[in-house]
Amino acid sequence: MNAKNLLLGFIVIFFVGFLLLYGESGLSLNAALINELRLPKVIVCLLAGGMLAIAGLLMQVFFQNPLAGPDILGVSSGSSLFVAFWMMASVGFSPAISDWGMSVMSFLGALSVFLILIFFLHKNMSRVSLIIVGLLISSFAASGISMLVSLSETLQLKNYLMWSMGSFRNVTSPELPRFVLLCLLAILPVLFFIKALNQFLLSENYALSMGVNVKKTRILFVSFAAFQISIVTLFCGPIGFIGIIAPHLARQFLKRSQLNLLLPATFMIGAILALVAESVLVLAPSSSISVNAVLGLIGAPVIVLYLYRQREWSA
Amino acid sequence: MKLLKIEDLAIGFKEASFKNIKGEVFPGTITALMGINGVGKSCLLKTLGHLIPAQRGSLQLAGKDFSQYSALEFSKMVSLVLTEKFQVDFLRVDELVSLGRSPYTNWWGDLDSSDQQIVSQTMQQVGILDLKDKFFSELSDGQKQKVLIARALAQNPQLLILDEPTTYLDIPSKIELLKLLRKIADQNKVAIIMSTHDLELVKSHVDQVWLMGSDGQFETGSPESIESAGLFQKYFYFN
Repeated sequence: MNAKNLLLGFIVIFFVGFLLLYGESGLSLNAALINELRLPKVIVCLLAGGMLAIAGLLMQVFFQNPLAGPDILGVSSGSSLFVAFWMMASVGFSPAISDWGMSVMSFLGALSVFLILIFFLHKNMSRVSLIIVGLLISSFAASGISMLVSLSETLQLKNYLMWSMGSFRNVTSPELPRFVLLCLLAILPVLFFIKALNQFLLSENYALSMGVNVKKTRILFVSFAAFQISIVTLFCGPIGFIGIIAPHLARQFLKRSQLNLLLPATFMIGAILALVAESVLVLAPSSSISVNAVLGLIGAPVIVLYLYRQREWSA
Repeated sequence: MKLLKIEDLAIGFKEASFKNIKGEVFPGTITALMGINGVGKSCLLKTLGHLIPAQRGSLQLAGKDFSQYSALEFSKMVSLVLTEKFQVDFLRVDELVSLGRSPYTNWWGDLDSSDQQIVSQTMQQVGILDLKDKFFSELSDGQKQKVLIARALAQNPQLLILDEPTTYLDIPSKIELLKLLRKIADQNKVAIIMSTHDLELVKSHVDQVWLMGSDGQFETGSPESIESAGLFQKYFYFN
């Protein structure tokens, strides 16, 4: 197996992680600063980046579409729209209800976009059309959000705008255990359906012919992907591009498609992408660059390059 | 003993589109399913492969009704080579063939030594051992077809169903493929059902023909008897 590549991945993660922990504004070793601010950030990058990447991989296998991803198919946007709606609507509710409601809304938003996509998938919509539907869902959600924003009071607006920029720094250290627990709950069970994912690699009918309970597996894929995307969206805001490009980079890197290898590699690359994007922000601390801007600069060319290399790819 | 017994079967995706199908299949034989485009050959094969439900009628595999099999049990009896194209980058030939063992492996999909032996034996039998490190996406149509057959065989089926396996192949590859299928039928005692449009190959290489007529008639018989009854003439040549 590719133990060397795995090792390389770990080294990169350590290096960038170290840079983020200790590199900011000189080699400051103030323990409190590191524990309170930087350690949560690094952990969030690792888990959120890795989890988004896995969600993207699940979607690519499920939709049999190498261009599927949480953002491109509108799942992140759906989640954002529901969260935005709740942020504006939950004014005056107790903080507990408002918090819980937000988690639920984030999940429902992701899930409802999945349901729309599955409906079209079952009407035999082509892969390219499905992506266009995803992009339209995104722009629908963006319009909805801008309507909500224009109707809202100043305070919610400020909260919302902060959140919608997307950042791995939003998770505070008291919130961290909850975030980590949710991530583990959303990631670890995926290991148990790696075999089914492999069987889905060829097509749904082949999976069926190998004894896979396709209906049950489909529900599992979609709920876990929705769960993963909604956790990230909830805690970090909408984060683009990692979900779609990490699986590609992992495939290129490993030259394999078997999920037993690809899934851990994808997680690792997602984590690295998040760390790298975050460290760019650290290197340019004076400006207010958003992590999504950095990811867009990396992500868009990677996708274009992929499409260029797959010219004969058919709809 | 009969492996597959079909009685009074009606097939279709939403409603019965072809009715009164009956037939029998024995181990070690090749059955060619023929009929013009759109008559429902793929639909019949998918019904026999338990991918879609029968509209009506009875289907028995090794003396048991289809409904008595669990999905996993069925997958150890029947395997498929379909026409649908799929695009997976970087899927190696040996990994693809190994997928055929997945009904037998544990939750992680680990191949034990006997699984590995079956995979390499199968690749050898089909003649793709030298391709095992290649990526599926790099292969020619003929090679891809063989790899898919190897995957299906690794599933260790008693019934192998192939949907138009010869369609995209040139003539020498078609003949080679039918010889391969004959070898598989003989050596593994597998029953093979394949749909095809290659009349000449059918006449020389198969044991039984099932003909789905454009008028809704379902005819069965040896290639010779179908020929002498003028049924090829009736359904495939137009004056």
